[in-house]
Amino acid sequence: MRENKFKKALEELKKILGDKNVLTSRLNLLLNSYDSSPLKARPEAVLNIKTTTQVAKVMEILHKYDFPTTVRMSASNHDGACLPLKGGFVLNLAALDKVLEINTKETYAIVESGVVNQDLQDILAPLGFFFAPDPASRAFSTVGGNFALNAGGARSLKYGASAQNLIGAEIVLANGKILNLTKENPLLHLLTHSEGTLGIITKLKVKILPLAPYKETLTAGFLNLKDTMQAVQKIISLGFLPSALEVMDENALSLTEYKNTNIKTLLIAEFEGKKKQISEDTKKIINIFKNTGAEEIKTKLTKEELEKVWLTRAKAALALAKEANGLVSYDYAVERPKLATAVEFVQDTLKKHNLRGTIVFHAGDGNFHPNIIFDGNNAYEANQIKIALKEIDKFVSSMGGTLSAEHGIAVQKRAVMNIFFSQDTLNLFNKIKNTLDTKDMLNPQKILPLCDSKKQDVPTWTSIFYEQAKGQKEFDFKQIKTLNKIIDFDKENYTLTVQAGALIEDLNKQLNPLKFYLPTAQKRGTLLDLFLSGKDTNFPDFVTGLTFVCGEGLINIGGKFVKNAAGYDLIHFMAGTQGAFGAPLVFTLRLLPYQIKSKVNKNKFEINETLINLKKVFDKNNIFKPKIFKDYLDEKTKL
Amino acid sequence: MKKQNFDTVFCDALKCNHCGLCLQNCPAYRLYKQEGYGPRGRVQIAALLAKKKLTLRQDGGDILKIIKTCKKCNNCTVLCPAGLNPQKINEKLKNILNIKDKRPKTLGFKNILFRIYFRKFFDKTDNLFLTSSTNFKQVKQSLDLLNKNGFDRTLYKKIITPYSLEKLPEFKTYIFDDIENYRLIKNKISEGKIKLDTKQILFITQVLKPKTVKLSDDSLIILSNTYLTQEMKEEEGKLFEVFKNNTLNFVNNRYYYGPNYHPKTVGYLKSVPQKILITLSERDNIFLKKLLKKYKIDKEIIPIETIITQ
Repeated sequence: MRENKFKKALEELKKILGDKNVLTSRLNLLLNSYDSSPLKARPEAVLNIKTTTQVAKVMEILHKYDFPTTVRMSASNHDGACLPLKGGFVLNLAALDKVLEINTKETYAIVESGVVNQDLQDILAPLGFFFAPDPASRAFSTVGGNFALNAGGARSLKYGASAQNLIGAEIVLANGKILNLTKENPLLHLLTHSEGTLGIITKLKVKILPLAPYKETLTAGFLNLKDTMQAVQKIISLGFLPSALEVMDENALSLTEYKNTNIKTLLIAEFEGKKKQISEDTKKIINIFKNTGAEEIKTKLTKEELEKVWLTRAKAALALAKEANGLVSYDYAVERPKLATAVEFVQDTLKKHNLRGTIVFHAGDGNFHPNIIFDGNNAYEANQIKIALKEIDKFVSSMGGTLSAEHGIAVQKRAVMNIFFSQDTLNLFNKIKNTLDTKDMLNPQKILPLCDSKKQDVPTWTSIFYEQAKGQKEFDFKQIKTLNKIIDFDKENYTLTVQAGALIEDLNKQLNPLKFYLPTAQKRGTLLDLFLSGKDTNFPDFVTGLTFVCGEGLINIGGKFVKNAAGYDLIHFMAGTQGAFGAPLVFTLRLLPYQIKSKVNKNKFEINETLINLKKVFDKNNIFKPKIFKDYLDEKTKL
Repeated sequence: MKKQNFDTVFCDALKCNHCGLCLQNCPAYRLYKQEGYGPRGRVQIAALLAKKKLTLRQDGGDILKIIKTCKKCNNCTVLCPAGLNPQKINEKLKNILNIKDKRPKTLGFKNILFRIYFRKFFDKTDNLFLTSSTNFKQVKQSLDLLNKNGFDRTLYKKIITPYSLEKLPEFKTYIFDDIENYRLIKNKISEGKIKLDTKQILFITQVLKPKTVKLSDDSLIILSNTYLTQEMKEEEGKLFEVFKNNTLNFVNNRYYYGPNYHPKTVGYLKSVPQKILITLSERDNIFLKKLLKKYKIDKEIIPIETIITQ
């Protein structure tokens, strides 16, 4: 049966794509069975897509015959995100590499998903602009891939990762339906780190930012990791916002020219802004370095020296590749003050298991990358790595960190998702996936773990809301407005965890005298209203953690770390939904050292069929703001 | 097809971590955008042969199609973090499959155009291609061929022959296919016969044919990528006969496009003992000058033409 179906599908596909672009030879299948991870999975056919319009047509056919489909472009991800686990078809979208529009006046660019990140940067640079996500793989990874995995990079502390830089997209759903999504549409944000499991991104509208007029880079060599992290901590806690804050550990440095020096960790700090401000700041930063025991401080680097510094950084990440045929690269993130402890734990764990690895990290946002090598032909070593990683996973989870800050989950980290997310959250993820992709065709078996969750940490005060959300009566939002406690105010980490009913006015009164500012210019109302109304489009970008109740139970996403690429992006999804999908109870916010302007937006989201289906998942009894979807849910038969 | 033990022949291919760093700097991959046409794919073919997952008998035909497309620019080798040489691996594959390098009529220009393509800094649609009348047909054919092959960004707006020109139309970039044309235009400009607002001129040289060359012991000859096709290799051979006693070393400067920085090249230039560097094309000459200045390497550069005329 299946073989016949497969043959028929191939014939129909050949009519659309041409014989040349439907590949079934053993060679081509094997060549599309790997990515940057050590994992492998072979597809049954490879389709080379040449235009965006072909994607919808192809998906229609594949949906009709029900074959698993996985999108592949540069295949540079570290976790097997583009491996066809259930076989089926691989769509090669790498040829969709056109930059369609660049608008410097309204600061956006429209690109096809296969455009290489560096190519876009090269086109923008002469115009005086840049594209904020800059993963280390920018020279070969595609913009579409960056968004599918929420890639960040060195500059994301200041300018945000991929999710913060998306304004619109054209996506193709599993059934071949094309959706044009704007920023107001909550669906768009589900797509950002969905890893291709919900839909196929064909076109993207992204933010572009003007290049800073002045840039200053400093390097400081330290004798130990603790001093380095102290310097990082001081830089951030004194209110500086560097555009990059990179650290390399001892093992990484031993592979570069710092091999025979007494310097154990190297800190690279990059600041962007106006010249006057930056040169004043630089003096202060140098003082910080001196006070924290930096051994070697370099400033006013020439162009050559700068290139050398970044080359050292690039080398440190990949230098180990020479020594083994297996390399895994992980991307945990924890809150910044705990970074030193986490890194030390990783170093000890590797030592304990006799493994070699370097650790490089984006210290500013608490994101660190252990790159561990192993002999791929040695089963014992491969097993040792698994054990070590599991220990690290558990440790990071217990610290409240995230499993993935910018690489995604895919296959490699799928198994440990259950110690990072509660069962309710995982169920919700599962149902979202089933709603958008009813036949489980798109990139199947990714992200979601196969076993039940082991995480249980429901605060007792939430139980009233939990019961209400599971009930039949209309949910009372006024109740939330009585919740206004500050749960945690972390001055060192620049985060605030606060109950949703807190008044902005009250918070400002407490924070502003201490020179902390909320990431919004709005002065009135509660955080709940601000978040759900979607008035301030910048605000959701600074919400790093969210606890909300919906029909599925109590959902907990994110935490006190800046970057996150684990699971679906429900924070951006919930923002601006007017409360129709659930009620936020707790926010974790990034605080800023200065007041920012906010972008006001009055547009409300448009309701479409997919959103109605999602509404049924989040709120099957229609108890959250029932008026919004009332008419649509009644007319079930029409849709 | 030769029978060989692939485990030993391709042992280094097994070291590949398939990270993908080599992909986007490979001209063939940029054109075809398919895995097999990039260095990672080629190395994986070798690895799969070594692991006996592919066999020459069954998959030889498919492999043949793919490995032919390598442009030998060697970008992949420079970039590879695992220190592999994908081009060498591809050459080994070619040897096994008995593919001999034949230079198709249009390949030379194709190579040139790939290099132009990588010079991202100039406008991709507003270029003027200048060629001599004898080459006109060939140039046009190759450009059209490229367009047919899915090279959808037009590389040029117009092709003209510069001989009878009195006025050059305004374009952002001028591309020459050989140095003679460039000289002709340059002379005409200096004599005031052609008025031109020179914003950006790029020229590409073809093979020079030196007759008598005097070289001192402390010189290093630097060749450019355009010499690398089969026909040009013969020329190279002739050149080297001339230089035989005096040639000390030979660098290939074929990676000098793109980010115009390469640690390997700079490191090499620093370490060679020679005081004088000889370049065979003016473009290399200009580039090398910049490079030496940038890295403060104190060496003298002589363009080959001055030696020939001496």
